[in-house]
Amino acid sequence: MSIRKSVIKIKGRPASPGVGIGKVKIVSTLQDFRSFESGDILVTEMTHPNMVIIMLKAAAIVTDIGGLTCHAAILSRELGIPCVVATKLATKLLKTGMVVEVNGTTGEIHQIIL
Amino acid sequence: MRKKNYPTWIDDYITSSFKAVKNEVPVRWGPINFIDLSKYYQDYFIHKLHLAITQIKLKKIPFSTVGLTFSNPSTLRAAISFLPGEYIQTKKRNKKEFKQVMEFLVDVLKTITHRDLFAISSNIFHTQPQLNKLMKSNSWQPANPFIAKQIARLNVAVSSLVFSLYGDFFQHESNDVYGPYDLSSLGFSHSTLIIRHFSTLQPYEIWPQSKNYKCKDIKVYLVYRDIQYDISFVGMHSISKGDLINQLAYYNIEIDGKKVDVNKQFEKLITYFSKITMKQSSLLDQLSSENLKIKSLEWEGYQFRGLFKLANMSWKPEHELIHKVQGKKVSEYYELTTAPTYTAIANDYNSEGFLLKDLYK
Repeated sequence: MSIRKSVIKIKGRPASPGVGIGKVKIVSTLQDFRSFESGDILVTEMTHPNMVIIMLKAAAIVTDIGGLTCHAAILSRELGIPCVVATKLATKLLKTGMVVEVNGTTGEIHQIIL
Repeated sequence: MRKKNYPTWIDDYITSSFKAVKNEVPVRWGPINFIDLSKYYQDYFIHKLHLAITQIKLKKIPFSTVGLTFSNPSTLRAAISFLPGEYIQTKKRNKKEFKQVMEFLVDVLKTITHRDLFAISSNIFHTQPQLNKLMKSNSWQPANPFIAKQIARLNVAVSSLVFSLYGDFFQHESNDVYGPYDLSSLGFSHSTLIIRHFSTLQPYEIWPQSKNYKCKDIKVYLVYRDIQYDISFVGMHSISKGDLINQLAYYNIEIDGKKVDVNKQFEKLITYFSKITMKQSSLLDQLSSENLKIKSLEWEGYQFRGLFKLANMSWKPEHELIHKVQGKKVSEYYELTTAPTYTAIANDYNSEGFLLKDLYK
């Protein structure tokens, strides 16, 4: 099986270092929580406290807005998982089910084609 | 060099504000734009604080006693940071009152912050003797990555609860991070102590159901090896460099003063806090915009509850204050997409720095 990175590349502000690979789960409402599985990539406009349960399952977190001291960034560093914030368009460009690599050191997100 | 005609804390305030904003943008704070809301009652709250402070001065209550009424240094620092924003919007500015309020609160802050008053890079709440005593205690447990991860999960769960109790603007009331404390002088080379303190987790005066929450105070003591930890303005706005999971060397956790066993109790605690966060978050989300306004007034008053009590005054928003915000249009979020420059914060007309320096002209 060959693996390659696609041209879909999103750049945001690196907020917690490391690399995480997993399936994108766009989360905007409570309904989206149900299908969130351990190891998924949480992609959301910005994290909300009610996302605590899925944040604890996420392999990485990507947000449209937020700085280095936003909720998502601080908690990702605590958990030791990659986080990229301020991507502006991640929730628009990524789709639930896509497999992506989130690089929290460079701030880049690539789609992975298997 | 020309001598400055204003106190040095103003420069520290500006430097720390600039650094904090630079790290926070693009920012969106909610669930209601507190800055926007405050334009409807700006002068009222500053005047109320001035009345309380006048009473406290008449009673000759020491600054240090007032300092003990705040949950932590960051909540006072944050409160101080909001006041110029309220004063900016005041139509009939009372410069003398505002100056007295700011100077009093800064003097109080000095009694609970032992260095780096406005937390340009650290939040020093403990004295050296307190640190010596703390490090000599036999409560320290060796850490490993599993334990570090469990502690991180608990921190995430409790931080989220705090977020849902106080919203974006007033989380400092219940979530502070003290340090970083360099332990090399105590014989722990390359080691740093960080203390996370979740206080006021049962603010039943503003959320009655929180009286039933399991605990009201959590202290998490963490000794890391070879990490960098930087704090700006408020403790919870920390930026770390290094692996917080693999470089945790020792830890100690106290819930309501009692030591906690990570292996035996943590999974249940994490589940518990995650569940009550969901419930609390739902309560916050269900508030109507009118009730969110009142909640914001309560949040603002609540952080000064001890100060008002010393003055025999109520921290609760009065009918007159509530009346000022009822029916008024307020945006949902405070948004900032780009960070202002240092010069803008320090000198622009009506900036925080400009207003504070203007008090001394």
